[in-house]
Amino acid sequence: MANDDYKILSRNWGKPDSHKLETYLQSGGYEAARKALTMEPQAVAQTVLDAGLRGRGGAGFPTGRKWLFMPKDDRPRFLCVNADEGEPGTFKDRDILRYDPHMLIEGILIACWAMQAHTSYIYIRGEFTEPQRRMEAAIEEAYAKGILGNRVLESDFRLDVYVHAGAGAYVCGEETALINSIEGKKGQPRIRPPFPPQRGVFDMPTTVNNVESIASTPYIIANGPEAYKKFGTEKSPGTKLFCVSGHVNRPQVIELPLGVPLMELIEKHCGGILKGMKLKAVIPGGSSTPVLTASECQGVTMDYEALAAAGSMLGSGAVIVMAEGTCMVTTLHVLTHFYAHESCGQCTPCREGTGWMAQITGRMVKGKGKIEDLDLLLSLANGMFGRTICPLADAAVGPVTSFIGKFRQEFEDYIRTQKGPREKPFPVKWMS
Amino acid sequence: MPKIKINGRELEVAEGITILEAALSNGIYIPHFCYHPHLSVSGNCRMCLVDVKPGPPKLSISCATTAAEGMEIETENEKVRAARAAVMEFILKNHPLDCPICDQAGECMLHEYYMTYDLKPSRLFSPEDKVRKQKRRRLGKHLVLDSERCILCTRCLRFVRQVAGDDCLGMIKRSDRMEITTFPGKTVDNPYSLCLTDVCPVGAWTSADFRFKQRVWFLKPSASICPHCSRGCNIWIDHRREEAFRIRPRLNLQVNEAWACDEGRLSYHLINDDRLTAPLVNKGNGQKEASWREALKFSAELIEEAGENLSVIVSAGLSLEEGKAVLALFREGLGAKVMLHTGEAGWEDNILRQSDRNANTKGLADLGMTEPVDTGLDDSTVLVLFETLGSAPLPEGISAPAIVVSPSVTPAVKAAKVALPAASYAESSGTVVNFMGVSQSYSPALKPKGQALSHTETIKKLAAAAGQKPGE
Repeated sequence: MANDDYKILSRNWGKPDSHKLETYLQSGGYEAARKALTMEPQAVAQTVLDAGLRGRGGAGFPTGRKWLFMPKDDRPRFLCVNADEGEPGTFKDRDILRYDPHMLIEGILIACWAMQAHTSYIYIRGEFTEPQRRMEAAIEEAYAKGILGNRVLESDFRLDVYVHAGAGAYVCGEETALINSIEGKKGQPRIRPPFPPQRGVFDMPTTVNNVESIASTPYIIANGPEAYKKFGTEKSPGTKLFCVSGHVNRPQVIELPLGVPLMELIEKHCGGILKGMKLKAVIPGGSSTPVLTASECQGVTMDYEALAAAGSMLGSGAVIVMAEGTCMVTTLHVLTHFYAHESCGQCTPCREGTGWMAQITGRMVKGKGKIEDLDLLLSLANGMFGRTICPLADAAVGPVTSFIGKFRQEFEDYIRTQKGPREKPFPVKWMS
Repeated sequence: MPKIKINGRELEVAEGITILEAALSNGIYIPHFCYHPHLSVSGNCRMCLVDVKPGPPKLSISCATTAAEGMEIETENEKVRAARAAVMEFILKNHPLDCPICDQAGECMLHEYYMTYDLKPSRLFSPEDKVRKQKRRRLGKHLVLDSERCILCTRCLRFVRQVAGDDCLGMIKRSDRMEITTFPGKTVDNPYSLCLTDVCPVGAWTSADFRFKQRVWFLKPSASICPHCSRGCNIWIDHRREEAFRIRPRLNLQVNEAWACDEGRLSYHLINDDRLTAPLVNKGNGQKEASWREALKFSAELIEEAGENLSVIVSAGLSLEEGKAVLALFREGLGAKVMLHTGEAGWEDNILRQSDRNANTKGLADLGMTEPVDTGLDDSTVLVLFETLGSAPLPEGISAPAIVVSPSVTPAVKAAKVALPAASYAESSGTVVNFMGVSQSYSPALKPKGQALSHTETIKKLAAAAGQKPGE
């Protein structure tokens, strides 16, 4: 890249041994944490709020505000770092964990100081064995160097960080399910209220933040909110890791300022569509965000507001690109099957609805669908949306309504003409 | 006290209660599966969705939303009805619909709600699309679980943890493959396990004892009081054609909430089995059935012969009325010594079960029956024994009572010179005082078996027979 000065999260990624403490210290590591420890905790949270950092896990809630929500009573407080990156298409946190784990630890230090929490759990997706090993090694290094422990960076602040591996449930990326899982319970979301800041992990005040949100804070503290706001748009300041997958020449995790045009991301940064094929559709923020057609992709920028205006969401920044020739029926079945597999089983509409949807799309793929099935799917989606404890049902509904809504003709044609599964549902080998 | 409006009706409700509780206590019904008044809120069935204003645009679950000042709640508008119908459709999607062979049919919430809130044909492509799960799993001594019928409301999980204090049940798997099961190596064998059949809103948990015995719509429930410990749980005796089929707890917040122990529930067998139905007389040539007239005459002779040596043992399960009659005839009338028989103390817990296995120890003690059974009685003593259903056997070392009034064929009956058949608690009325001092009355659910008479009637007849003797 010609101009890399917007690289905040990924600035160390290319370096040899980027995951080692030594490398991190050489690039001014833990200076932000030292600075934070000299500030009032409240001021640290205020700085992050002023920088306009919004939750990078998908919901986009201001991180600083979350920190300020923590009650000021004398109960022990907890920070849970959500590294249960399970949204199909998302693989950004994995790279922070394995290439720059110390940036996350520094961010945890800053967040815990701001909230005066003395314990932090990093909840890492169970399948991430390498990132987990790297993270554990980094925590060990940090303890050895006095960065964590009873006297953090020679101050009187005490902080312990633990890695907790998940057991393979997508729903544990939902904050209250994550909390249940840390407690050793079945990963099922809890009803709110009470919200985690009132009663979270072990019934104590808890904040759950995404890895990327936490890892962004050292830069904000070191350089001030104004420096951070230089990047991105007015309402969506800062940079974001985009994980681009699908039919592009260079699928990758790439850090760019928010507000980058989607087409620029695909064409310039990811080398365009494979084999010069035409673009068909893009899922812009992870599998649960509504799909955008090729024409909708033109001119849309990658920030919270623009994507909301386009009828989709920035989500986790997972851009799934589909080229001409992609079978939307098969793709939808892949997605509905995923949600049917991952629904925690707690709320009736989600438990039964996701499975039913997957049965219907599965039948369609086999060429046994009926035209009425499309309306049945939409009707089921209607019965599921907004009716459950957590947003998993809403997430499952997102692709169904947007795929059928935007590609209805293709669905109808498939149902009418296809008498068996399509031989080549994807233009290149991509998903099976 | 927040003021709220439900369907336009203004209500002033207690501070901190939920919308569902506010509605139910004011006669407004909101359907619900997972909510149970005596268990924690889990909020997962989504049946109790209502429209709350001001509030989020989406519907809220009334079981977990606290009623707050100024709330306007709609429980019957189009949006709510559509949501309910959708939830019903989702619940029924994988339900096996084996109602014709399901014990719950007739008292199934799923059944009733389908008729009330859904009534739509299935949109399932084929019955083959239903997820199959395990049926007929014997998960405890008294329990059978049918996972296919289960709607995963988790009431049973919350019951075993929160009420029975036995962490034996959990959920396994996810989405529509999720199942309730016991943790490895565990069974549901706590003393309250059969309460699962009550808390289960569908036919997933069924009682091994009651399974396939009777269609519930043929059963007639009669209110009664369980006599098998000094708690005095309020119960329903469900019976048909003078036969009891099951016992269920009856709500009483002061005494037993909505629960009953397995022993108490299964004690209905005592009402049906091994009952003494006719007087028995043994004049030295073996026990033979006799008429009441003959048995009473013989009893009167025995009482008269005894004279000073007459003693009475009363089971602490007798009601206050029966106790008074015994005292009037035997203590005041005949000057006999009256002793209270409580049997050995059994196990107890801090849930319901009391170590005193008798219904009325406190009540009879209040009447002045406090003297325990004297094991040092000599052989010249003539004993009269009043037993109740499930009375403990007499302590060893006591010679066989001459006259036994009992509802069942007990060892004492078999050894008696005269045995008179008595009505059990299920066939008579009375008042008992439980260990807390709560006085509770019951009335007959069934007719007395055979020639059995209630204890009070028997005592009246004995008094008449004894009074007829000249010179007394």
